[in-house]
Amino acid sequence: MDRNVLKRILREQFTPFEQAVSQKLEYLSSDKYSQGSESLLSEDCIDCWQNDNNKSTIIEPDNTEDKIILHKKSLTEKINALRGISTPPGSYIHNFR
Amino acid sequence: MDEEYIQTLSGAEKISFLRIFCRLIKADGSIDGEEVNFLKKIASRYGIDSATMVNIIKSADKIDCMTEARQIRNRQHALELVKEMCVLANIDDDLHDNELDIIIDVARVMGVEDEKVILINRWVLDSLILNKTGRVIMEKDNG
Repeated sequence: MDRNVLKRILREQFTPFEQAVSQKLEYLSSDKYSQGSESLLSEDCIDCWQNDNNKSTIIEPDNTEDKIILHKKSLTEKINALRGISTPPGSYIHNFR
Repeated sequence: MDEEYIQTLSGAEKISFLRIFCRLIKADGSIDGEEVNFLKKIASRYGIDSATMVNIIKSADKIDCMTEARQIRNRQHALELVKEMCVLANIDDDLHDNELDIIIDVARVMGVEDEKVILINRWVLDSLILNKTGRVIMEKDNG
């Protein structure tokens, strides 16, 4: 490969970090990324009773000591939780003994 | 990034790697804080003492990267050297022409294909961006 062509390719791969990180953050919290995920509700969860708009699926693991009901939330909500932004009622994971 | 390769490097290879890194740092005429941090961390991981490191840095202008690169005859080590050079070249958020020249020259002397250099550089950039994004999400710094 011609040296100048190689240098051009390597240079074109480069994006200033601030711009690249900003784009990545935008992508991670975009609707496109979280598309397909559903908000799920547990019929045993008081918090979830308050939200009639959600449907429920209960997934019980093999471990019977802790009955863990997993609520699938959209990825957007998960990212918001990491950023300290408040999410709608309903916990991500409930523990029922 | 994977650093298992360090255990497989000989003492002479580690010195050659560090000499090339020092030469690369000085290639763009300025020394960035991120580059210095990279050098400190990698010298520590290579088990190189401060005195040796200072001597290498002082003589950086006289280092012949091609001579050092010819000491690297193991393919895996050659690929790791290209990877680390790409990290060093990109980590200061600026890519200088002289840095690219050194990476290309060293890679070609070691028999690493141009197409492989392109792939490694792309992977390194993706890793650096992902790492910085993670630091923002985890509120470790401003990115």
